[in-house]
Amino acid sequence: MDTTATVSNPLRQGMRATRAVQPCILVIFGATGDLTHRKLLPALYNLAIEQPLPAQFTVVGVARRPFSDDDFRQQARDSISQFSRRPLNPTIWDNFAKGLFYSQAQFDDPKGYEKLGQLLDKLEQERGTQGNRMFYLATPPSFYGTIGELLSSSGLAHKADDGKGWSRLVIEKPFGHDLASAHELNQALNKGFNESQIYRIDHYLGKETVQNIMVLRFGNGIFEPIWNRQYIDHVQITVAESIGIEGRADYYEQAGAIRDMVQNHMMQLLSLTAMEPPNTFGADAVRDEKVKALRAITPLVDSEIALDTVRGQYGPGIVAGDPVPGYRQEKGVSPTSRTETFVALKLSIENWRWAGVPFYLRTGKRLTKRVTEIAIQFKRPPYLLFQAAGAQQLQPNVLSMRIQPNEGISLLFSAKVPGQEMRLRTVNMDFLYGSSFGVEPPEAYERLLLDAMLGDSTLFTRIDETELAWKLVDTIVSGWEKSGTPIASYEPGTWGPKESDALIERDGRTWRRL
Amino acid sequence: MSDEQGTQGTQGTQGTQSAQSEQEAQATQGAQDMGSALRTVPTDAIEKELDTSWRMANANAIAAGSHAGARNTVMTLVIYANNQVELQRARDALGDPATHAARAILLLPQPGEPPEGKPPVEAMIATHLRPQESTVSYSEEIVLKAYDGTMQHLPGTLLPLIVAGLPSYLWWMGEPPWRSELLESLVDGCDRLVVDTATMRHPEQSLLALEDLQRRKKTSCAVSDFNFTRQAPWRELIAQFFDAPDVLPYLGAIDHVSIEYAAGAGDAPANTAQAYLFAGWLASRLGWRAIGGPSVYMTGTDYSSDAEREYTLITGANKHITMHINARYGVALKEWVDVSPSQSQTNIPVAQLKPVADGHSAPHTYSGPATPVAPGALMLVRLRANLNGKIGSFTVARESDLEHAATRAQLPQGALPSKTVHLPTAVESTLLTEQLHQMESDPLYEDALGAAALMLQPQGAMRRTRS
Repeated sequence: MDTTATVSNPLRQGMRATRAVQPCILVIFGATGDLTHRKLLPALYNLAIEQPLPAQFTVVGVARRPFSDDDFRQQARDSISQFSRRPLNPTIWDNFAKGLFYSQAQFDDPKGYEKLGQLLDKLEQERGTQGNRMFYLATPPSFYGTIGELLSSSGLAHKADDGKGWSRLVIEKPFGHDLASAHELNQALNKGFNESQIYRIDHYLGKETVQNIMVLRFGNGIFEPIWNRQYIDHVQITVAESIGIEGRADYYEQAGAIRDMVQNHMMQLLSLTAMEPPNTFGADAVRDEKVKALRAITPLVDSEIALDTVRGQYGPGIVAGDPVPGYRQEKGVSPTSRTETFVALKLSIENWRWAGVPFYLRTGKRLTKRVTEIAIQFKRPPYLLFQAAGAQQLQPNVLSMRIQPNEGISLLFSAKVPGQEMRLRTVNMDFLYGSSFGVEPPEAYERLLLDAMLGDSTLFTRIDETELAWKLVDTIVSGWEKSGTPIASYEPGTWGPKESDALIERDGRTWRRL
Repeated sequence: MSDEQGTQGTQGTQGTQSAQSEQEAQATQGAQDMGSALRTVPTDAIEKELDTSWRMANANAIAAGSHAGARNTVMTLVIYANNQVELQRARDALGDPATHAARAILLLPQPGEPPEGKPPVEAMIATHLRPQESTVSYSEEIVLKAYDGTMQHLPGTLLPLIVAGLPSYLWWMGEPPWRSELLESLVDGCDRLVVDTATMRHPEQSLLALEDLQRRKKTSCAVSDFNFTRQAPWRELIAQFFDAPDVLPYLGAIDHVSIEYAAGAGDAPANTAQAYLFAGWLASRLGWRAIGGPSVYMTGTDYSSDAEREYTLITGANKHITMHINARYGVALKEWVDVSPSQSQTNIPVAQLKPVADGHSAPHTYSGPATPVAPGALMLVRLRANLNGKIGSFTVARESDLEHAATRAQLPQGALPSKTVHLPTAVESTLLTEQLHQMESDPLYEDALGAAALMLQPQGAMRRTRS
């Protein structure tokens, strides 16, 4: 981490925020786009309110539109008014706005970078940002490589350790659309930035509940001893959305559920659940363990792909009393599209901890409800002492970690029904974040932007994680293409096609009813 | 409330609910609260009655289509309220959704001896079940009333009610009776003592007493202070000046510090605790210690008896630093906020203030929106550094609206950009929540308190060293 200078500030000793953001300029490419509008500017404003940003902090928006600084400030004001979790405070805003600037550029035109460079040099002098620059690519992914290369060739990005201040690059998923393209993109980015300077955002990792997976596992003494094949029967990871593609046909037709969800968010949840304890909470120690878990996933061969994967596509139907179009009827989607909107997988992790414990994953659009959870299903007791009391019908113990909504953890266990007879019933013990802490967690982007500025990459995806996840996805996609198996259709508002149920029921298990 | 009243009807065998407690219940329980109202119970049946209340509250919640609750307790919060008004303030703070799910035990002293037929310690209980946006918050409340003559029984009743194995906090409203048996035994039963030095009548003696208690109880009970939390934005802004590597060297070259706080009104001196805690924080972080006591001189104005004080501190490298702690008369007191009688009893004195440009002119006629700032609140912190002849000046000052603070930093090469932050009027529930987030001791506060105590009573350092 590049935080040594701030640690040496003795006034930081003992403060909750012992790490401090050094003066820097955040350059947002795609400054007039949706991500900047909805997420980045409101997140930066909330960070400004909560103080961690230094007075010298400066934002330069870069986009194709012929905006002035004032136009950009007005757009930022509108964004904050509309999307910030805190209302706009005019006094704070006036001060924040003084640090916002705009530079018009075509992303592939070197002249734009020359102009941007002049502005950055000027601002560095005026605002004392000491050469520290963070480039955020909030652009379509097709521009990532070009921008990365031009930042390098124009000299705007400093090499690590060149003594001119730090440069970092932040990019959003998708990181390529397969292993080859991810590799190619990385090579382009590496011309100007080495791996330690690249921050790949998977916004799931900015969620409090995702970070809490590590706290639950490694901050408690009681879970880790049973977190293995001796006690766990299987793991279910569900990322369900009730909405359709919401007008994102261009992107979704190319991606499908497996690239949109499995390659990134679900692999992150899986690796956090399956990883070994890291020896520190440092960025590389944590990510090394995640990578080891991903590496231990048994690659699927073609015959297993047919058996252990299901892809589905929602058809037309009725949700909450209203008719909804099928995927192929969505605007911009091919009427013969073979893009999957649902995926179910059975994966195995072949290592000492997880051998023989299947991980079942399912994700999809237009499912019954929006819910993301990881459920650890434990084995039944070795001997059914209470058979006569209905113990066979009891659910096994399940520890579920709900990422959204109703963030929390719940444990299912058996209890005696009060009375003269020995009757058993499954009950649950809930821990709800909202009930216990009552405080509003920050938006994922606030945490991630702050971490990137602090130089802490723990919650960002490293290239080897990305590539391993692509390798798995590529194998599955190519298996699907080779087999030519039809895509199962499912009714909107259900939990996906019946083939998904068959996948897990074949093993004598069922999906959790959520 | 009809459900709650129905609940009371079924539970009425254990005690009668007084009209007063009914009013209290209605005042604090919003329409959203699906728990039970405050009701009197026998002192020896508190736990049993809470169980009953939870069952009834859950039955009501289920009947209303909501979730059944669990006793999702994460801590015990003991609150000592000096009177009914403070009790109400405490209950208001507990009603805030930001307050953790807790078992709250509120202690209310009563004058004299218990009336004929009344138990020495009276108990009332309530459960609260409040649906939030996507979840439900649970808390339970026990009110214990003890009389002057029965106060000694209070710890014996209270301590068994603290939930075992979970953190326990004692919030003592107002100035605690330092070294009293009651305070000592309650502190011994809790993990953290929370006070607000802004509400104390004798802040300087209280800082010394608090530091003494913190040192004696160091291994068993931490201390924290709303007043230190209030000044967190000031600490952050001052620290931020020196996060930049090229500014950091000026930190070791500071030779003059000014800390200004809002002056008191009329003859009432302002509470200096914030100023001393800030001075203590700076001194403890930078390894400064005071040489002797302050030079104190009165201001000579007619509208305050706050004193100006000058200290000399010495760094680890034997460099002298001059520190001024002054009441800020440039912020004239126009008038006290017009408060209702109940508010005047509950809140620390509140003034409407407005600074004037030159900082030391006559009282200013207030105009513009009213923003209350308590006397004693930090108004300005200025550090001056002389780095081998290069002068750096670093200031954080309240803006004229008194709600915001802005930074000014001047270095030989020019001024750094200014930053403005909002200084929220921290309500008690927010301040309380901040304290409840801390589990372990707070070395930042303890160090600041220790350094402040050394400034207030430098001879104390020798005494402590000997002991």
